[in-house]
Amino acid sequence: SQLSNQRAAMPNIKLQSSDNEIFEVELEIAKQSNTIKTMLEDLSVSDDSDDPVPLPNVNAAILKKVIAWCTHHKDDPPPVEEDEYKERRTDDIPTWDLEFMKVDQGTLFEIILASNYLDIKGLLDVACKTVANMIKGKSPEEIRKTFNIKCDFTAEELEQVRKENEWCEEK
Amino acid sequence: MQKHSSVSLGRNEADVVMFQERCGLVMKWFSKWNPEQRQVLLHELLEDCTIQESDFLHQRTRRYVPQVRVDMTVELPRRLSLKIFSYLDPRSLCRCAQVNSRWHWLSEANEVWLPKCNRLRWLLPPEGHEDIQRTMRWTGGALLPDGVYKRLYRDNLLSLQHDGVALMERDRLLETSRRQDAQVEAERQTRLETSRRRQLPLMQAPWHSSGAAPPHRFNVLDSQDIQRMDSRRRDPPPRNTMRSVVQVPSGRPFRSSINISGSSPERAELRGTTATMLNTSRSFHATRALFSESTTQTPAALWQAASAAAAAAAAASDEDGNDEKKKKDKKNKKKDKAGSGEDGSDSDGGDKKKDKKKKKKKDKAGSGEDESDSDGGDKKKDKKKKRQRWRKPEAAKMKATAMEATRRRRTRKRRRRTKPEAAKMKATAMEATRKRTRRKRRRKMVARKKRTARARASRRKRRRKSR
Repeated sequence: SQLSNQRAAMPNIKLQSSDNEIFEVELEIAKQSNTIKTMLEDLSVSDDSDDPVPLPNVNAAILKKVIAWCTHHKDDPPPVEEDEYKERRTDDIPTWDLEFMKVDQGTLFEIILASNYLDIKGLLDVACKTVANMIKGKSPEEIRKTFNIKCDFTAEELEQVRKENEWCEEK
Repeated sequence: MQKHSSVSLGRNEADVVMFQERCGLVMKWFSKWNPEQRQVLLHELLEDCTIQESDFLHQRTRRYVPQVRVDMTVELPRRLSLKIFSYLDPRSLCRCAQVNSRWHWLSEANEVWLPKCNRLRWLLPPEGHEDIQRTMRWTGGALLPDGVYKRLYRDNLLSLQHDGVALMERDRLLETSRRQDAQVEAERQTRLETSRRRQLPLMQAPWHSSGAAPPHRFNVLDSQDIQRMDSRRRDPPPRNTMRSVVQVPSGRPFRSSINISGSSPERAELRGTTATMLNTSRSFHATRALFSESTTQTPAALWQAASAAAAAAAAASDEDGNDEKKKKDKKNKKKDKAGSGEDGSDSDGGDKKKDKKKKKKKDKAGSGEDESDSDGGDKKKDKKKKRQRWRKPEAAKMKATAMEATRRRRTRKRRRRTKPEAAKMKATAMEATRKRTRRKRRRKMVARKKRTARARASRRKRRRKSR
């Protein structure tokens, strides 16, 4: 509702979340999602039609977050195809995105799922990097605590796995 | 079960009040219980929930209770988990492998380790690793058992350590590859910058661009087409008729046959049509730009509108030309009438009084030479007719004028035919008489000669007889 107030000239599109909440978004912002973009192009939906686009895999809270991210990044250049073998950095997240990603883990993972479903590459990358940063530099026990994971290894198995991966630890 | 039967949630006020009272009672008990008792009640309630109600609970608790600690590998599909893992360094991955069995399975994935090996140019040995070879043969090389590339990475690293180069070598290798990455990144940035700079003129409005024609894909006329037309205008074409094909965005060619013969008015017309087409295209772009935001017309519809406008403009220009021709024709006719002062006062209609006056003046001046008698008769008849006509209603009047017009045309024709032919006939007649007289004279002469000859012959006979 806040988002819908500030637009005047640009054509808008209505997005319907899984819990039937409707968001009115600028078309250019919504088209950052490749899913919505291809949906509009393939189905040749006219821009000014009043029918909302149903997004059954995204709930209202997450959709609000995603729209906020897309609104902030609407002037970004289109993402380029990354070299698969290039080293993947996690320390290049913009400060706005760092603030944006300061949410509980449930929301973070739902953002990952939503950005994957909506095919918003930039948002997916940033979210994955945030999670990777949560894992980096932690011991196995710290990781377990961070993500509330139960260790299902037996003591023998644990010892075996530790030996297997010993080579990576500095001596 | 009991709550369904006890209060039927009716609409009458008594039921509503009773329900509210009981709700308040439950809340009062709930607030007074200790945590264990509360949990028991919540558990009971949850057990009694339908799917919709538990879904509602799920959504509500999600919104209000932040899920601080979630094992995301359970929530996310494998592909997305591996995307997160691909951002991790080898040491973090090795630690992830020790978390639990699922994390172990994920962190061993080849998708994560293959890029790391390839960056350091560590490739799988073509032979050896019999188990690898076997599975690769089975799967056609598409699938490798998990952990192959992790093992490759480890083996290579350990071999470096064995050779006494230790981890410094790995760091050096990583540093070089990082530098390469930075270089590639810088190149990509410069490429992006140049491409952005190159795209800048295209960002302008199409009708503001410096090009000869707007670089728009719904362009009606290409700059090449205009150039071609210019060249045609300058150089005389090899033939009289040429056809120019203008490509239309929908793919079918739009043929505009433009006759470029040598005569100048047609060339002017061609110039006019090109101008109108240019104008329409320009206005087309303008309207498109104006209305592209507010109204969403399909390009096909816009094209139809534009072409319709162009056709209308062309038709208008054609009509103008025709009108001019008609006017010219009329003028010529008037001139003819004026020039041939000899054809006397016609039976004029009431509509062209001015013409009539002029003609009368000219008639007076030009002195009607022939057919004056018949014309006089006509005049009398006309006067009678005129009188009758004024009495008649409008329709009859119009009919009369039409009939008169046809009659006038016929008489004019007749006169045109008679005037030169009369002279001709006269000439032929004179010629004939001349011929006739000549023939007569000749016949007379022949007859005289014969007579003289006969007379001589008879005289000779008489002389002989007398002898």
